[in-house]
Parts: sequence; structure tokens; C-alpha cells
Amino acid sequence: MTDLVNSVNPGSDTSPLEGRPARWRSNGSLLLGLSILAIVVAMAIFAPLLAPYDPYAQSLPNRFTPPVWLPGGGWDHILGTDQLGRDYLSRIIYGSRISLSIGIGTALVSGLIGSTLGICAGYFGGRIDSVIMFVVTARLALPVVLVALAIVAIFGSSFTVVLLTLGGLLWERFALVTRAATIQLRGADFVTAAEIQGATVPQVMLHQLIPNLANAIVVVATLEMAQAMILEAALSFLGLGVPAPMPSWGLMIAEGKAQILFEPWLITIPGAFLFALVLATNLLGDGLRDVLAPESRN
Amino acid sequence: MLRYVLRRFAIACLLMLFVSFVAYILLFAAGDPAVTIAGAEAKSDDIARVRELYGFDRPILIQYIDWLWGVLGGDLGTSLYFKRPVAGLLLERFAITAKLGALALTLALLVAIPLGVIAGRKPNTLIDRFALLLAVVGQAMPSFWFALLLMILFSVTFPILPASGLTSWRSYIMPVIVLGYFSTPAIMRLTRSGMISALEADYIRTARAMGLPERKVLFDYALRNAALPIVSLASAEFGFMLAGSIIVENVFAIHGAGSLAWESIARADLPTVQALVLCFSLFYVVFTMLADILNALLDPRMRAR
Amino acid sequence: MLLNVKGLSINLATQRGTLSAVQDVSFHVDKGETLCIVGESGCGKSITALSLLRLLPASARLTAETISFNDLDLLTLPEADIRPLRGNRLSMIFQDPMSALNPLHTVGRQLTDVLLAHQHVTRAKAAERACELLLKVGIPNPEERLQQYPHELSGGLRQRIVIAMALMCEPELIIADEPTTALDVTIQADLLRLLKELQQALGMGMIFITHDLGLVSRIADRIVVMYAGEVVEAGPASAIFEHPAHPYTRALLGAVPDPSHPRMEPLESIPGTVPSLLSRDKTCHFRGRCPMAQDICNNRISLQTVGADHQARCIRVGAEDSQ
Repeated sequence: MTDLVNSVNPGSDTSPLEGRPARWRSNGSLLLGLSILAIVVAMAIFAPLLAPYDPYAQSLPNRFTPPVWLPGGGWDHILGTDQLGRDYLSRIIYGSRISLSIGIGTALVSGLIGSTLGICAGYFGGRIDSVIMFVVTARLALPVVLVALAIVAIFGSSFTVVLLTLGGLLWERFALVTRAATIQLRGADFVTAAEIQGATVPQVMLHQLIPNLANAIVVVATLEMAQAMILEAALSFLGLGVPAPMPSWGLMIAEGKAQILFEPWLITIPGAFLFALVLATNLLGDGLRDVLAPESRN
Repeated sequence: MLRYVLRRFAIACLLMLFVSFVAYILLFAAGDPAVTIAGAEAKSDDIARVRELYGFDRPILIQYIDWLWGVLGGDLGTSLYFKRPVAGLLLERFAITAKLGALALTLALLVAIPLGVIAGRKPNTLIDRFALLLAVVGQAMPSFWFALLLMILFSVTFPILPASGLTSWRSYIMPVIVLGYFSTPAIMRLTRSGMISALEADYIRTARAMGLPERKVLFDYALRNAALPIVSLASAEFGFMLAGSIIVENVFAIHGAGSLAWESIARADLPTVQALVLCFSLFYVVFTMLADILNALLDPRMRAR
Repeated sequence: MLLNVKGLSINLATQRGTLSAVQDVSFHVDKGETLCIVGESGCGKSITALSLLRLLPASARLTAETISFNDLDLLTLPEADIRPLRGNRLSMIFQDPMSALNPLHTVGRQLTDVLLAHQHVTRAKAAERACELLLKVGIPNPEERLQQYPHELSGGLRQRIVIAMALMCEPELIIADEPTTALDVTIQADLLRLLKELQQALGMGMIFITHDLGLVSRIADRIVVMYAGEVVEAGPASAIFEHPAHPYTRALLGAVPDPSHPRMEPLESIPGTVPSLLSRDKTCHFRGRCPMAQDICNNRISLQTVGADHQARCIRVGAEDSQ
């Protein structure tokens, strides 16, 4: 009779609608995120071809030319010029390189740190797990913006310092997710089989665990990338991110802040690009999660 | 229960010890504080004198223990810039930041929980989509940009709110919105998913089959169960919010702990920075501890431990 | 007639299309009578029970000729008028005592909430009633139990509390959905006796849902056997036990452990699987597993009369007694 009970297809007790609309919606958001992201990536790669001017070329007589849709604007400078007469569109286009490379670089660094800790915690369990989880909690207690600002201030602001600082701070989600997934995998038959056949711990981790964690890691990496791009912009906005002549969108907003009364577009334009990029990355991450690792949706 | 509280307290203390050590190493060992104090143009024997004077020539662990001993006695050091004890300085500044944070958290909860309940009650309906859209947009909005947008709108285009300082209740509106919106999406999502899973639970079906009024089912049975993780999240978010005050206070020129942090970093006022890192971490650790204890009080299954 | 259900069908919208969970099911319950609905899990018995309380998931579509309770038409009654019936005149006992109770409220709170939802009494009065009932369902020191939380109680105690909860308002009809499955055998027997006693004492009608025909023999007045969302056999308990007409019923009876044998041996099971409820074809649903299937089974048939008040959905009805 028990065989029967198990062989029966689900009819009455479960709600068969579960999950379906979520998946459908996420595919829509995945596509939207992917297309916006593709545009920004193209902008970054083909920046020298796309940018009408040198993003660093100053022209003081042409300061504060408004963008084309405002009175006084013209097609020479579609998005206007900034306080040093630099073409805003060209700076925006080159700025995408900074945001994207900080995002990707940070995700790589933090992914490496976090996944290593998470896999070790999940695989070994026991005391090692407790210690690693303690470190994760401690990391959560540290105020990210403050610590990042302080570190950048000490080491001097540069692209590399910002990238490494953010990478060294934003790994806790990687650790938590890979730990949870590893705990589930640890008891799986193929892991046990590999262990019985004498695979060493690094072999098990490399050949059995990581391939199965890849989906979860990709999802977290995408979401963490968005986080890193916001933080880079915030640090640059506060004057302790990437240094001044570089066209970081956060820095451009900070420079525009002085003109908030008369030229608010100096703030809205780079902010809108940053917002769109982060939104697209988050949408992609949410979409990937629903497709690749629906169990990790909260 | 008492054992649980004591255990949780011990963990919090251990955590603070570790965090303070990391922060100490990170900030003090990373640069050379003697150089900073002596100034950029100082000669090498000046630096050496400073190093001796402040005790920077001792092993780092000894320095840390020395510093920690002072902290435990309420001595957070002396601000290099203000030339006065950091403890008093922080007390003044944190009063403002804590007020902002508390208002912001209240706002976030007031928006996020009703929205999450409505969305979670009828998932995949129009209102649910709207709430999720709001969350997605909110999570992608850099807070400093959002702050400036509000400022452009309400201080420049329609000058109805003051752009900086804290002069009247109206000056609180924009900073509180900016600080609060940041946590709203996460709390909303958690409320929503908590409500969805609670409403699918068997005990909700039982409650409905027993003919309990829908209002009671929703708020007393479902939301109470969904609330447990919200308590944890909200406390953590409060910690993050205080740390997020660095940006908000910078934009709105409010003289709280956040702007003090930024200024102290810019002035290389290391004792102050260190004390601030310690305080922000302490808030996080204390609030998450209180949340765990509150959860234990709300959940009889945990209370037993 | 206390409850009369005619032509009940339930469709569920799923990812792979519409699933016909229940098709053209009819039965009735009289005052003081016990109707047993028997079938494997997934046959549609639980969802049938939920539909009587109008507690179906949003993805379900219900159609029926009649669902009447006393003289109320449950099909058309607005939600606002249904709620006061639930737990009050029409109550339900759920199957899993581990999850059926709210973990955050005391047992007493949950019991009194039921009474307070339907009657204007004070909480103290309601607590008195709860104490009384706990004694009735065989729980000693009820005052103490009322202060406890579900996780502090054993499965057997929790199931008794779920039963007490359903009885708080002395309903006219009680639906028990596998109320004893999660428990061990001795407690099962205890609870069954208790339910029967309470039913007789209160004169309730009862619908008892189970997959275990062994239990049915002790309490059923009438039996409905369901298979793949359909009634395959219905009739008085005595008639069905003595002359099971449908091969599925016979197979189920064959699967009941012989009381004279110890329960150690594995239960005999019916080979094959239930057909998908997504694509109903024109053949008899049981055909694939039926030991007596023939070509004529390619055509579905309606319920055939076997004897007085006894029907079965099998083409061989009448033909086989001569064998």
C-alpha cells in the first residue's frame, strides 16, 4: 500500500500553481536586465568609437552647455558639458567602463573569498563552520561604507584600491549561500562516492562541489556586482573612490552637486545611467536566480 | 530562557572583541599614524618622537590591549582634530544620528509591512506586481542620488523643504525618507514571502476551517508567524541604516555621527574614526542580539531553550 | 438529509494544463451517520472535503449540481455567510497534528478563539468549555494543557486537541480527513473509538476520509470508494464489505491486513499506477491496473446498480456473480 501512496500523482494536496507565475515574470525581467546590460557593455567596449570627444579634454569657454533638450543646448554636446567644459556624453560613455570593471572585479575578488570560506564551512562543518560563521557575523557588524572610506583614505584613492577594498568587504553573501548549498550537497551520493573512491578534499571540492555550486555563485555574483557598483559610486561621490579626473558616474554626481541650483541635469544624467545599470544587473540577478537556483529565492 | 540570553550575550561580547581587534589592525596598522599626526612635512626624528610619545613603537597587540582597556573604562581616546575626548564628541553626534535612524526605521516599517502583507496575501496580482516593482526600483536607487533628486525637486524646483541642516521638523523629512527607503525593499520582500509561506501553512487552513474572522487569521495568525524573521532583519537594517547615515548626512549637511565619520576620515583623525567604527559595529551587534532575544520571547519553541 | 452533494467536479489549473481532480462525485450524509470516503492519496478525497467548506485553493474551479447543507445552498452562499458556518455547524479535523496547530499560540488560546469566533462569550467562559472538551477527548489535567504550546505536546495529544478544536461549537457535521494516519496503531484505535462515541453522543453526521479500509470497517455506515477523482463504488458498509463489486474495491480489501495475522508482513499492493488526471481518455480509469480488464473496458460507463443503494462503476457488474 505504501508503494501505491508514493506512485500516485499529486492531485489534491499540493497547489499546482506554485512557482509558475514567478518563473514567467522572472524571465521577462531577465530579458529586460540582459538587454540594458548589453547596451552598457557595448558602450564600455566601444567607448573610443562611440564617444564624440575625448572625455578628459577641457574647454573652459564651453562650460555648462546644457543638454540638447534644454534651451541653449545643441547637437554638438548632446548631454551638455560639465564645469570644465568636458563633453558629458563622452564622460558618461567612458564612465561605464569604471562601473562595469569595478562591478566585475569586485564580484571576482569577493566571490573567491566568500566561496572559499562558504565551501570550507559547509564541507567541514563543526568547529571550522562555527569559526567561519563567526567571522561572517563579524564582517556584517563592520560598517561597510565607513571602513571602505577609511581604507581608501589610508592607501590613497585609486581604482585598484577601491576594487580590492570592496572585494575584501562584500563576500559575506557568497559565504552564506555557498555554505548552505554545500551542506545540502555534502551528503549527496556522488560526493560520498567520490570520497569512498579516495578523492582528496581539494579534489572533492573542485570536481564535485564547485560545478554544482556554480549556479548559486553566478546568481550571487550578479547581485553583488550591482552592490559594488553602487558602493563605488557612493565612495567616489564622497570623494574617496576613484580619483578626480576619471569619469566615474559617482564622481560626476559629486561634481554636479555644486551646481544643483542652476544645472540639476549634471546630477540627474549620470545618476540615471547608474540607476539603469544597477537596475539591469539586479533584474538579471533576480532572473538568473529564478531560472538557475529557484530554491534560494527568499 | 535566561541561559539563552546569557549565551547570546557572551557571543555578542566575543564578537565585539573580534570586531574591535580587526578594526584596530585595519585602521592603525594600515597607515603609519605617527606620520599622520606629525604632519606631512615632519622630519624623521619628529616622527620618531611622536611614535614614542603615543606608544606606537610598542608591539601592535600591546597597543590594542592598552586601547581596549581604555575603551572599557569609557576612554575612547582624544580626537586629533577637536583636541577633546572622543567619547563626549560621539555622544553629541550620535544623538542626532540615532534620532534620524529611529525615524527612518519607523518609516520603513510603516511602508514595508502593510505593503508586504497586501502583496503576500494575493501574490501575482496587480498590487503584488506593483509592490515588487517598487522594491526592484528601490534597491537599484543609489541613496545619494535619490537624496539629490529629492533636493532638486523639493528644495530647488518647488522650494518647500530646506536642503540642509536640521532647523525644523521639515528638515527631517528628506533625510528620513532617504535613510528609510533604503531598507524598505528588503523588509517588504521578507514580509511578502513570510506572509505567502505562512498563509500556505496548515495552521492557517485550520484557522480558516474553524471560521476565524479573516482579520484575525491574517494579523494574529499569519503575520505573527511572518514577523519573526522581520524582527531579525529590521534590527540588522537599523545597524546598516546608522552606517548609511554617512551618505545622507553628507548630502544634507547634518552634523551627526555620519558626517563626523566622513570628516574625521578626511582629516585623518584616526582615534575618532576608530571609535566610530567601534560604535557602529556595537550598534549592529547589540541590535541583532536584542532581536534574537525578542524572537525568543515571541517564539515559544525558542523560549524553551 | 444533513449534507447532499450531487455532481461535484473540481478542476485545478496547473502548469501543464487543467487537471480534473474530482469528477461528478455525489454522496449524502444523514444526521448521526458516518460516511467513509476511501481511496489512495491523490484520488481527490481531501480536496472534496475542502470544497465542502469552500476552502479550495485559488487555482481550483468547482462546479456541482447541488451542495446543500440542511437547507443551505453551499454552492451559492456568499463567503460572508459561509464563514460563520465553518467550525461552528460544519467543522473539520485535519490530518497532520504537527502542522495543523499554530506554533506561536497556546493550545488554550487556539481553542477559545474558535468559540469566540462564533459565540458571544467571555474568554474565561470559552476556556471552561475548552477544559470540558479536553477531558471529553481524553486529556487529563486540561487546565495545564491549555497553557502549553503545541510543540510541548506529543503527536497523540495534539491530534486530540485538533479534534477538540473541531468540536468546540458542537457542529452538526464533522469532516475528519485521515485524522489518525500520523499516529501509531494503539493511539489510532483509541481515537477512533473516541470519535465514534462523541459522534453518537452529539448526534453529529461525520465524513471520515481515509485510505485505510481496515479503519472503515469499524466505523462506517456507508462507504464511497474513490479512484482517480471518481466514485467507483458506493453503498452501505455491510454491502460493500460482503459483496465488493468493483475490482478496485476488491483489491483494496485484499490489501487490508488480515486481523488474525501480525502486522509484520508487507502489505499487498495493487500493481500499476493511477492514470494522469490531466488527460482523461474514454477508457475505464482503472483499466491499466485491473486484473480483469477486457476489450469492453475501453468504454467508460456510469455507476451501475449492484443492489439496494449500492452502485459500482464497472461494466462487469451483474455479469460476474454468475461466475
